[in-house]
Amino acid sequence: MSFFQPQATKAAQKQSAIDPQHQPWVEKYRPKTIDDVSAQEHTVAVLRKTLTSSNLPHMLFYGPPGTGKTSTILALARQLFGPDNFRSRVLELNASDERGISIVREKIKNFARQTPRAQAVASDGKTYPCPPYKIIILDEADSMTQDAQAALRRIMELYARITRFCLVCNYVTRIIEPLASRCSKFRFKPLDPSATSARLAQIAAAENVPLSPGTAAALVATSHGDLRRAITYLQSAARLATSVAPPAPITPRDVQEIAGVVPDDVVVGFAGALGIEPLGTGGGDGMDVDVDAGGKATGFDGVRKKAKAIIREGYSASQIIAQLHDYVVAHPTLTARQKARCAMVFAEADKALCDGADEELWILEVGLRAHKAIASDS
Amino acid sequence: MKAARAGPSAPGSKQIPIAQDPNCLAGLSFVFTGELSSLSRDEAVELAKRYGGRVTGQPSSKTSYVVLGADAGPSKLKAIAKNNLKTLDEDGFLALIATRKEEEAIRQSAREMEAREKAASKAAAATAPGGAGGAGAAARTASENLLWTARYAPQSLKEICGNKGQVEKLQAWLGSWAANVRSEFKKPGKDGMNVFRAVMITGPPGIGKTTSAHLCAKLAGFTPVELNASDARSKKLVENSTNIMNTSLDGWMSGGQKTNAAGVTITDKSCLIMDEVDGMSAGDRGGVGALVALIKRTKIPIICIANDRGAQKLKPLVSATYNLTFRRPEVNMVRSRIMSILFKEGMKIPANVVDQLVQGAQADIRQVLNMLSTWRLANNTMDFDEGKNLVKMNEKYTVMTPFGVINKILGPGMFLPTTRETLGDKMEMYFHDPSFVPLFMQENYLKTQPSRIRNLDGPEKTLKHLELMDKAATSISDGDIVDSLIHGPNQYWSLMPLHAVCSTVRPASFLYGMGAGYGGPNAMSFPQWLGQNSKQSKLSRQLTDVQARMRLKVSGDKSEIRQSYIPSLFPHIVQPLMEQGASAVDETIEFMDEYFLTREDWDTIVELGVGDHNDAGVLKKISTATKTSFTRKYNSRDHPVAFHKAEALGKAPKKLAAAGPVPDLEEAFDVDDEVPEAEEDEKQETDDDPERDSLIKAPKKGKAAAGKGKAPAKAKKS
Amino acid sequence: MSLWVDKHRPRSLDQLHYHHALSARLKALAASGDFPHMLFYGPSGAGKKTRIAGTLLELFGKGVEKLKIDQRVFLTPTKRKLDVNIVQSNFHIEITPSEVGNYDRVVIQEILKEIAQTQQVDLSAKQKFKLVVIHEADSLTRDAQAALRRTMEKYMTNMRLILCANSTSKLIAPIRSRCLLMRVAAPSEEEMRAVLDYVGKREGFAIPDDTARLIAQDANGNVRKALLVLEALKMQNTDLSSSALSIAKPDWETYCHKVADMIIQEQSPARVMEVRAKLYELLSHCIPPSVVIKTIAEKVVDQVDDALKADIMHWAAIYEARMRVGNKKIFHLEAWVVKVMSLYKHFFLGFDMDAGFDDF
Repeated sequence: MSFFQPQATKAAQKQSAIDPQHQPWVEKYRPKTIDDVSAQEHTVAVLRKTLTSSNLPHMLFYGPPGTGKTSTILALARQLFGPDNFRSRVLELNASDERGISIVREKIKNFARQTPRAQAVASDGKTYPCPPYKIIILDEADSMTQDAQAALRRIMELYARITRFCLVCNYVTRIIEPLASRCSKFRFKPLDPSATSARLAQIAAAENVPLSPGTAAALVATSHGDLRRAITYLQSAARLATSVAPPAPITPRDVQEIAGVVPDDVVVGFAGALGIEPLGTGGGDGMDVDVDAGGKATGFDGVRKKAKAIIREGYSASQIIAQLHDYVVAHPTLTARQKARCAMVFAEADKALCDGADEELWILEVGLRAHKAIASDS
Repeated sequence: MKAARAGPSAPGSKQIPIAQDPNCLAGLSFVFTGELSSLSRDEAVELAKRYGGRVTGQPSSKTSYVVLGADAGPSKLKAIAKNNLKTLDEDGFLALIATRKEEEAIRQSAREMEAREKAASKAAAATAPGGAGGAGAAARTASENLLWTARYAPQSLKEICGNKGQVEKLQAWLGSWAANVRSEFKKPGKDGMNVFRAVMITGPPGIGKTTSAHLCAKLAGFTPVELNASDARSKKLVENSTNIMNTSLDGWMSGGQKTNAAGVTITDKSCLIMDEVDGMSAGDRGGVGALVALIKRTKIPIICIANDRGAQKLKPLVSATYNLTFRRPEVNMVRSRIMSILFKEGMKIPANVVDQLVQGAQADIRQVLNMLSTWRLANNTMDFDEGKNLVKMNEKYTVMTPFGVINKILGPGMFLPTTRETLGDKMEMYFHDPSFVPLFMQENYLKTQPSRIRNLDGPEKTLKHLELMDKAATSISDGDIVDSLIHGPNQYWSLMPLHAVCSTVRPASFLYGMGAGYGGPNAMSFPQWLGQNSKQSKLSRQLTDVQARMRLKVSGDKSEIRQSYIPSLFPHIVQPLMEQGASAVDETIEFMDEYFLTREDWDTIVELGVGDHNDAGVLKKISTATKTSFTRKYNSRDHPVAFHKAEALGKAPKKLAAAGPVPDLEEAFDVDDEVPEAEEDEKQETDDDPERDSLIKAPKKGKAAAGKGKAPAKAKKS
Repeated sequence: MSLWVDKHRPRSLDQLHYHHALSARLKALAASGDFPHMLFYGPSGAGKKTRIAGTLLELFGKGVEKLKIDQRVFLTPTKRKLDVNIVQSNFHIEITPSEVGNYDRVVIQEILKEIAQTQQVDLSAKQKFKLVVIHEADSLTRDAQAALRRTMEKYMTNMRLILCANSTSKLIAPIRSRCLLMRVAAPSEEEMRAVLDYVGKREGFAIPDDTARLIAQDANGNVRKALLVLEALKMQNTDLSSSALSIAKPDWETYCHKVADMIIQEQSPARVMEVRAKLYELLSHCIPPSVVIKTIAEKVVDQVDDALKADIMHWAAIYEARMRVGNKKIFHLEAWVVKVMSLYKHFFLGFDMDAGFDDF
């Protein structure tokens, strides 16, 4: 197979090169410079200085997914080295590459100990700072084993003169202390809605996708500050919308469906069966009668019926529980005690579902226990 | 003897002296008769033993002293007179302890041993022929550095403790070997042994099996060649390395002497000793079979040695060999041997302590020697109590069977408030067999009559019982979760103690009580889990096959097939056979073909039924005639198959490399990239039939496929 | 001679009886040429695979209906051989990697890599990518999902994936976000009626209202089950309108109900052991333990006092979750049975048991 494989892949590369419409927008609109990075002003300000001083510490980027950690370091590296030196000066490893201790010992160490080659002449005519060191980016470093992390310790010190490390991770607590102490830490905070919607609008404009404010709001809400997710959803929605004969506008409902979000009325309906009065009805005296009547109808059988209906609709149990959680916690009339009990139930259910437990049983379990918690003292 | 039972008249009235020498009574034997005034009989006996004396019941000529108390038995007095024995009263006995040092007698016996030792070494040098003798001498000079077990390995048959009969038999067999070869093993001989070409010695460890085999072989003029567990003994190696069979010519070429793979010269005067044949295990696959084959043709004697004759993998050997079972030697046989060794090493350990050691080690001479050589590093002497501790420390660890464990831990004694077992001891029960004990616990925890509810009755008892069961079952369930962590991808072996508590100790602590073995009604049984589990995996595999076949027709996954389709298929393909008999066969087969089901799948579907559709019940209702006609008709027809046989993924590239002339063509045209495209396009026309083509089953055409893959890409580019 | 459920399965998106909006959307996507990775999810028997087949037909034409099964052998890193059945046509393949349990990562990587590296064979094909359908995607291990995630980006140019799962809960977020989610809900009772009526008409009989309602309720949104039940009913009774009609339960369900009755009738160690034997019987005959516990629990709940129902379901949920974590399912099933017996007896004799849930 060896003699034709290179051709095949070459062909594939060429094809992808000419087919930018299939490129994920996440890649397409990745920031080119660190100034393009959305909403991480503090980090960007610090890093901008390194561009001029060419003195870069080891770095540890951490924060929730989709906040621009990888984009930032890639953009920074690009600005430092330029496209020509990029290949020889930057090593990027992410979680799907093999990253056991053997890789640390061989690949990373070998790359780390090479003295960087002289600066190639920038072909695009710009000048880059091109400082005399290389950068090793370890994406998703928190999924590296303890052993592999331990093996990194000495490498980071030994070759510090010619190599800088950038660890990127979601959970800083999973990086072993000795590694963390060798790095300067940068926290990436979740994007605030305005930054997300600004970036979305920018992309939508570039792609010629009509984006109504409602849709943008839905995207922001479903992505929870994860810009990558928001952009992916936008692309999927755009794809759906343009595939119909007269391109339809993207509705907020489309976005919810793509994100797998359960419609609010389903959540509210389920909550109603648990005896939680619906939001927005004012909670006045006049409404109490209705709620009580509803509460009485929903004993064990009521909850069970509702749970079965939800399963029939095919909604994901963990999604339902997450949304029910948001709903209950934000609910104005429930007491703190009731909320606390419900939260306990949600936590247990989430664990069970993570272990692969049966969805129907656990939706029912959540329903019954939340129902009991709410009925106990209101 | 009535007076003896009356007890001492003035207990404790005399002070027991402190002996100057802890072994002051060594070599003396005592008989006590009558009632002493300050010591009870037991105390006196204990005292005599403590200081190295021997106590016998009846006086004889060998008795050193008879200790006379009040009302001595007349028969004993008579014996004293007859044998002219020395007598002592109580004061005399105590004085003896206080004053007597090691007496002349013991020195004398020691001298005897030394002499014997010398004689033995001389004899050894004489018996070991030729080179072996030289080696023996060399070994003797360096003997200081040897392990005791090697240094004091018997050098003559006389020195072997016990099993005299067996050793003699072995010797006789080896002696008559030449004659047996000549008679082609036709004459059974005195013991019926001479028809065998091999002997298997079995017996517990450390009783001199290997030593005996080596000695006998040497004495009979054979050179022992030993292969033991350290040598690889797979089929091939057994066949090759013990190249005894003159199967190859190089034996003749090199003058009748050849060297086997193990580097040992084999002559016709060799004797092969296969030590530890029960250790021929996983790595030595086929080794036992090869050995049996070897035995059937061998021209030299083969002695196999094993511990457990009943072992499953030794079955083939048992019938091919003559079996000699070695027993543990009697304590007194071992004692003398040990005593002489101790004397040589300059250790002073009284005979009674030695007895104790030997008994504690269950007559394992090797272990006693090891114990003593370790002791020697620090001490030269050992008294009774020290001996007792040493034995306890070296106590042989006996593994209990799961049945024993479960009976004990669920028994009424384990969890009483007065019980002596600590939590550690209870957990130890689990470690007798960590994989089986939890299964036994789950199988049997409901079979006791719990002690905890003994004093209750009526509904309260029932409720409490259920509560206890609930707690136990929950704990067992906890245990399984711990177990899955232990055996999961991360292998948290350190959780074993927790598993011990959850799976075994805690459930038992709730439900211990009268059970089987303590008069309870339900016998402990072997866990069903193992059988049920293997049944489940078997049926699940078969179900996978059924699903794979039906897949073209049916969209359901495996559990859908089981839960919805099989009950629905039942009335179509099984019920008609039950109700209408042979007349429904055609219809049934047609229906099965529709779903690509085979006759085996039909069996599976029947087997998967539960309750009313239970396979035994269903099959009973189908007459034999129907069944045979069904099978015959099915086999006589052609059936649609939706299946392609398995194809190893790893092979694909290889085939591809040999795919034929296409590469040449392409190379020739490689100058111009566009040409092969046209060629591929042509080929493409013929490939159009979807039945013949496929996406991935294309190893043969993989080349073409890739070429084509390139083609559209180029087309697009241009 | 096929069963009706297979005989009358819709072949194209146009023939589907419900979720027309979804069908229209699928058609549009298939026609657009910009086909994304997709994830179909929804309860069993809602019609996911039928819709996938319809979509394939839209994409590639009649060629996809010529299916065959290939058995492939894979080698694990530990040199164990794995047999995997692959359903394939000229244009797509379908795999069920969960068949091989923990080795699914190997299968996913090997097959996808192989397919991605060879391009579409047939020039006359409507699409230049090939399609891989992965069934039971929710039972893929984390490892396999991680492998999939990378593959999805890498080979986007000449391969598309369609994942089919009962729920998205067990899929990792990166996979969900890379796919276009397609929720296939179970049909409502009216929609179910339409399907039943259609099949009835094709088979030449009418289904009375009561019977149809009975079947639809029993099937609980599972069309496959409904049609199988309909056929069984029709086989047993020629007249579907009689009021004495009862739906025959599958063998295992009757068996589970028997177990439930046994639990209610008597609570004693001997009875637990009898129940254990029955449970072994069910498990060894390939009834999944979760189904066993659910079926028994529902039956038990129907027969006990209201005050106990919530408790029984609570413990069923707890032990079901434990079962997923543990190895030996029967241990947890039995623990649940003992718990229920204890609860029931306490309630029956008027004692209160401190095993209820969260009184803190």
